[in-house]
Amino acid sequence: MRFLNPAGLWLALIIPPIIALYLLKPRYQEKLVSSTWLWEQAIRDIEASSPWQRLRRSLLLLLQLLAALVLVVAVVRPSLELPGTAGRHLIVILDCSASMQAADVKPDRLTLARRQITQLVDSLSGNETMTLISMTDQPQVLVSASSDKIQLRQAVAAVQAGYNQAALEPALSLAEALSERDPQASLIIFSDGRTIPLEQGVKLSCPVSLRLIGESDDNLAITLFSARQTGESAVVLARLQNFGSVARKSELQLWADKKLYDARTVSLAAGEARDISWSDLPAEQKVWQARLVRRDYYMADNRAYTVVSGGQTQQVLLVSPGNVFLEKSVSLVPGIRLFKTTPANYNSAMRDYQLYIFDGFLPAALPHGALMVLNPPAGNRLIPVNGEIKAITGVQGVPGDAVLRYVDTGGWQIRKSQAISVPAWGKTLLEYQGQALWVKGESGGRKVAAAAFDLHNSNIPLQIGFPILIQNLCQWLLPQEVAAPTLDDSGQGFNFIPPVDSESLQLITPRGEELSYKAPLPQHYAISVPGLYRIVTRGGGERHEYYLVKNGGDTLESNIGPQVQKELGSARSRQSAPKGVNSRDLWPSLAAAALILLFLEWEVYRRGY
Amino acid sequence: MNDIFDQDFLRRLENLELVSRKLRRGRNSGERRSLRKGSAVEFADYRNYTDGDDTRYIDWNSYARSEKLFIKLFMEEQDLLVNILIDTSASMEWGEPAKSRLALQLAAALSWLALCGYDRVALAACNEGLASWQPPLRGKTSRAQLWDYLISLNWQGATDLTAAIKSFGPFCRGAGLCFVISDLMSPNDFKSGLKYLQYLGQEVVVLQILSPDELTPELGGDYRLLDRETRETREITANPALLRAYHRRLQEFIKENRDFCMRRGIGFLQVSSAEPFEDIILRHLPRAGILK
Repeated sequence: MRFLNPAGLWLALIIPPIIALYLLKPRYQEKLVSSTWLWEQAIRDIEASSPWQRLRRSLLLLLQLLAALVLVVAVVRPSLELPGTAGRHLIVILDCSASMQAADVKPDRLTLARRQITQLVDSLSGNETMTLISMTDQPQVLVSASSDKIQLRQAVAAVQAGYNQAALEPALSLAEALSERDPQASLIIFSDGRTIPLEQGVKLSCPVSLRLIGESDDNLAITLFSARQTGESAVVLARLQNFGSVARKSELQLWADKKLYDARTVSLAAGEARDISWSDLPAEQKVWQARLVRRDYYMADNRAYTVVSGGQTQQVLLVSPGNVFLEKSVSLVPGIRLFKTTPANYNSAMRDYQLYIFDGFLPAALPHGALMVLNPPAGNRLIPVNGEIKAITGVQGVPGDAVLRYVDTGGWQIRKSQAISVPAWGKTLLEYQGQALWVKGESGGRKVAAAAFDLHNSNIPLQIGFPILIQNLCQWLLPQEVAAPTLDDSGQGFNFIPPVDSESLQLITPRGEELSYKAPLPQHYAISVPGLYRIVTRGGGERHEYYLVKNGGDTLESNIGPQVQKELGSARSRQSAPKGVNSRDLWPSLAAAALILLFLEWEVYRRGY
Repeated sequence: MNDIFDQDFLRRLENLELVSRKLRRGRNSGERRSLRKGSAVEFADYRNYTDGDDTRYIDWNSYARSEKLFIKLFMEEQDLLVNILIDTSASMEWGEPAKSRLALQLAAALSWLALCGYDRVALAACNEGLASWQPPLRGKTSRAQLWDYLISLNWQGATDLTAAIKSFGPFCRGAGLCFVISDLMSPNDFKSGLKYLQYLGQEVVVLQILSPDELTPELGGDYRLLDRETRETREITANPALLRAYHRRLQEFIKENRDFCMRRGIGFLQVSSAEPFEDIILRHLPRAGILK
């Protein structure tokens, strides 16, 4: 036994005053009575003749001394040190990947794991601690080395299954870091074993055990579903895979929005994957959905969406004798396909481009698409050229124009530029001392942007703002077929650059929830559940709708059969782990005993023993 | 005394009659029957004529029938001597309300009843000894004298009823009814005194008066008790257990007194000084057979 608070012995000074109270004669009130004769017969033992009386055997005194003694011992906080497994630090890794939603165990794998962890929490003794780590693609410490059971239970209850893969290696690295200096640490992994394979066997410094969750591998999944436009029609491809160990048969349905378009019965042998395609589908149907009708233990991969791509890529023709800066900047603009030619090779047959960029050249017959003109030749009919300007050092942007958003013109210099007049259709974007350098506007039903100078005669291509300016201009010039939103690498969000003039964006999730964003709009949006996301942008009086698909089918997560991670190992066996010491604090029991003694003393006083 | 009795209550008292369970011989003819047979109107018995008998009491009709001389005996109506001994020790002037007040009220009431019944009333004040004595008075006209005596009593000294009664003995002439009004709170024995009164031919009635503070003391904490009579102190811690012990001892004391009185044929009544005087006179005393 040892004492956690030896300083509490000072409280023992309370005992002498208690004894002194019994030694001291009580302070009496004077009271006149008719006769003390009867009292005398009842109080013979009360009489005293000196300020101090002999310490008599009194049950009250004994109880008070005992209560004081117990109180002192409680304050000193004695603790019993018992050998055992107590004092452990349990590091629990809980697999929160998509496959933990499988319902092969009741009610599902994650809930079962949570119950088992909660039981583990309940079994913690006073000085045991637990660290809880959720394992998805990125591990996250939910509770760190806590013995607070309420906090641990709440953390366990709050864990939700994600829709990502489980990366075991970072979780193990985290656990290893936490257990490195703790000889009492042990690791328990609650998982179905379907994780991103370890690159090499991991040896942990603490004992490790795997609680395998899950029983069955029965799952038929759509692991791939894509569509593309071929001319006037579309082709849709679905890849099905049977992850079970026995052959399965299911009906595969193809839906166009809410209408059933086709249905086929598919039989797959154990472990077989098969591609199934539909061709000559109507190209105007943008969104297709595939459904596997048969119910299995993991339903998230029984449904998949795809959006017909093609026709959305904007074609841009760059007509230039050679401009690396411009070519590079334009090619960076998402959602466009850049074609190049020289002024000599350009002819009027080059049609079907959404944007023409003429660098130092302008054809006599202007094409129908949008135009970006740089360094226009003198005498053209589109932009009047009036001479030359030299040594331009202070390029000013016209404030408030969306094309100049995020464009910093500080430090922009032009050695030589043509002096152009702002045409009737135009509006100045960049200027130098009132002289327009870059204009934009609409002429003859097409959008036009024109720069008065050759980029080679300026330092502008080397400035940070240049690619931004080109991107903004391209987005303004091109008919607004903005690059489709694309899932990011984590699968938990998507990147999307809305149209330049967008003022608001509405994200409608597969569950029907509507998330609204106001300008300035972000370029990354977080998502969670698989399904079809609708993105609606509004601005400049126009409304645009885009689609984003996140499918649940995944060759790793759809393979729900529980798997033992053989690569896991511990440098220290459970048996060789040093025995912990269970230090049991006794003060609560002692405090309760002191309280009981005080009540007993009061009762004894009341009864007058 | 006016605050003790008003005229209305005095009239109600007149309707009561003091009753003596035994008829005693008195000095003057009164309204009470005596065992002594005499010449009054109520016939009692016959006896044979002997020489020296008054020939006026010979029943000549019996002689005519039997030719034997019989003397007619009649019950003689005689008065009663009522002695009232009042404990005037210091302990009697204590309590809320004071025991002395009830003692005076009872003494006055009993005296008044006796006077109304044409009986004689003698009063005596007792503490360590016989403090004072009022010789027998008779008739309603003695009321003022009797009450003046009661008002003049001083409540002081210790209690020694036996010594006081023995001092009273020489003044007690003839049999009679004797009331002893006291709290009996004394370490000294009073039972010898009561026996002595019976020896003097007195029919004794003891009225023990205790105050509410004595019957159910409401104390809590540490006290130094000061005895009103002896000025001695006793220190106590008044916890529930001690209060219970006191109460138990008090009940034993009262029971012991009652049992002694019953054994000796002495009337006994214990009353609280807080009880309304009217209740004692009109209810408790008749119930105890002291008034009718």
